[in-house]
Amino acid sequence: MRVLMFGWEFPPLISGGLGTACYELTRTLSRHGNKIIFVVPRAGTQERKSHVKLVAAAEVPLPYPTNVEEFFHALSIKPVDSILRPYLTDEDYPMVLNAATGTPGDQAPAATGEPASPSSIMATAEHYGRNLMAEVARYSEIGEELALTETFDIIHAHDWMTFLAAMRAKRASGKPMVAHVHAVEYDRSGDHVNQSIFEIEKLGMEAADHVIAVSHYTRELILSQYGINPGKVSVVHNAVSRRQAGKVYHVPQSPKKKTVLFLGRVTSQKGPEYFVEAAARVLEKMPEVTFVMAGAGDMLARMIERVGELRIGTHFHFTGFLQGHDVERMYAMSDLYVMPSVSEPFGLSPLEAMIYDVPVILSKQAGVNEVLPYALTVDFWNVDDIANKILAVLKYPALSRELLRNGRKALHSIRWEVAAERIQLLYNKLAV
Amino acid sequence: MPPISLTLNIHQPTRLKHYSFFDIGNSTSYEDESRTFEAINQLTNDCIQPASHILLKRLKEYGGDFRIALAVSGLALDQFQRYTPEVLDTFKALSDTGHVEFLAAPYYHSLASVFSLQEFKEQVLMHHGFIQALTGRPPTAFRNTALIYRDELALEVERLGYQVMLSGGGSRLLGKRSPDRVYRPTDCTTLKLLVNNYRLSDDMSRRFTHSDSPDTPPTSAGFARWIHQEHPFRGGLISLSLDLEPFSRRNLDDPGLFLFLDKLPETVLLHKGGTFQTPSQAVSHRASASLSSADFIAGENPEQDLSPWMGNEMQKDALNALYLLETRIKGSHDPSLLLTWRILQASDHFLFMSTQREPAPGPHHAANPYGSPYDAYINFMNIVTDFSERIPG
Repeated sequence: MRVLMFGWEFPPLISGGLGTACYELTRTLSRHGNKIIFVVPRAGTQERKSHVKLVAAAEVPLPYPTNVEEFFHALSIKPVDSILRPYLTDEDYPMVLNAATGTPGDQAPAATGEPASPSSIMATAEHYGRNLMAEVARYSEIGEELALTETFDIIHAHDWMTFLAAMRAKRASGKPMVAHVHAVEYDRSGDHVNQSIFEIEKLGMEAADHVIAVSHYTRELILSQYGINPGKVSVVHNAVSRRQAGKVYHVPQSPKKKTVLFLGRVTSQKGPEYFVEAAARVLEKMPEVTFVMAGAGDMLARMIERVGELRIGTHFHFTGFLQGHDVERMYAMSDLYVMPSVSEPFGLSPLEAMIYDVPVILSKQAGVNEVLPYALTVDFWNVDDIANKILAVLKYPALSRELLRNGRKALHSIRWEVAAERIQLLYNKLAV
Repeated sequence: MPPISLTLNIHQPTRLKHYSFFDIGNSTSYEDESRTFEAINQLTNDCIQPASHILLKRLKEYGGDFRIALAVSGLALDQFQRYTPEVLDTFKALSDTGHVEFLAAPYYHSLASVFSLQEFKEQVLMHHGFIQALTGRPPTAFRNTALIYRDELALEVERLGYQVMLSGGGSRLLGKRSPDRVYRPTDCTTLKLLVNNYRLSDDMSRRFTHSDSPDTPPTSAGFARWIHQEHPFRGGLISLSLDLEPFSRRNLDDPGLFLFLDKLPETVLLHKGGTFQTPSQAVSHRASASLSSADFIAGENPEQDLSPWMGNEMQKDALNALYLLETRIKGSHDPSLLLTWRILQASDHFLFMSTQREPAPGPHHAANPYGSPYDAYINFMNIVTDFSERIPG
């Protein structure tokens, strides 16, 4: 089957779970004999009239050893010149636009710390949209063009920024569309929902022939907040692969000095403030523990200030945004991973942590709990309980061992192949 | 149909407080008294009193043709004495019929038989004394917590003077033999062994506690017919074990258990050879063979082993941490420390830490106040950490 997929990122540039999920799904779907036309925004891609540049598989740097040749044979990557990127917000857009076009902005760049695309300085891209919505609308034009130039049997779009493009492709081609929802606006913004984004999500899911939610948690939101017909919304859980973790670092962990890690976007969705407050509580009882907050986001400055206020700066480190081997090294250095998310549609990083034999404490709000029958969970707002559980993991080694044992057992069945099989069945059903 | 030896088990663990790491060194109270009281009160009023009322009536009516055994943990007896002392009068009345046998057991429903034979003996003697004072008769049959057995233990039970021991079974103990016979533990000379028929016992309690299984609740007629079909001949003895506690959680409008008990004598006695025997009456049976297991056998899960209590690292760690304190506790000669230590030994606390995927519908499952096995472990370890800091030496 030929799949027109509107996705995000590609190794080695991956900033979060969305990019990882796209990569793993294309990899496993291509094994099923699918040909995937993978459309991805990439700032500074050589501007052509069509906004499209066809890149032969050979021109794409191989992210992993060449035993995946077959995969790249099955894949045609189409970078589209756009400064869209996962997790981009309205507020951050001007900064990203300025960075891409080289125009000095009115404001100093916010400390999101997310990496600017390497080729961005080369761009002379006054054609980018003046705000996020405009850029999303501009990007959607690609859908129509591809519908006219490519042959495909099905359209598969990942998250709201690509929904308009997919809808246009559907209208122009008459092919069925799958909307794959990794997060909804409610996850990202809580009560401060951006109405335009909400509308696009709703439109996209309504237009789609089928909607895939990454968890039952997300499916519930789709039904209750967006009123989508339950009959066309199914759950395909994300997964994790050993290979994804790359080579495993062996960092000698000092038995005395324990490291507790927060890794993710430092935004209200991820609950970083609960991690900071819990750290202060833990340090009252175990002053020798080190806390690390790895990631960037709009709450980072506030978190740094709070750590100062609490006078725990000597035990609390900020690494900024990490990727690739730095992420792996970070996991390998840690004794415990904490994810106190306020809302988490799935949450891939705990699975990655488990691959590095790092036990995890998870928010009860995380969709990933659905695939982990025995996870150590907390209410994200219950700082005392988070601290209590951090202390328990650090003080009672049997707890760590048990968490890792149950984690390994669960990881066996959490495979991308399973997700791909389910999606394949869906394709087969839709493309008749 | 062979005789039926039915044991009804009564136990309630002490409910523990939510005890955080931050409570260590700051709070010495571990028991959630109001929740313990609530549980005991409910068990008394919704289960023990109504069930006993029916049993008393039938026991008197049928004379010696209807008999049962009761295994009541010392921990539960203590709590009845404290909160609902009328239960002790009920037990006395049951015993006075002459047709109810009270079994000896480790007082605190503990796994002491696995960790410390000395502590095990002390708890059995305590329980023995309580039962003797309550009923006026010394118990002669012994039922270990969770029907735990191994050869070494059987020898100890024989040395303590018991004539019969109830145990779990499974292929490790029975091989291909039937559980429905009276056996002799290897090396023992007088002690007889009654092996619990796990399949029948489990099926019976499942049907009582899971309203979604077919034929729920079972009728005593169906039950008797089933036993009779499977065991048409008279040989041997069918040993059954049923926990009473789960029934206190059932809707009171649902008279399943009570009807079952009410009709049980009538329907069993109807069948040819259908009789009731208490465990000590099994002494009259000749032991059909000797059984041996050097490893621990238990009776409450399909594997008939200790895995529900000791199946994972947390459980082993918590048990080790607790039993490591024995020498210091006993050296302190402080009765209140000893009592706390023993209350913490109740097997339930470890069952709550189980991570077996499909935990056997354990007897005290609904008594579990914890959201996850980790929560159970963390709470317990915080308490043990505080407790061990309080022991002198």
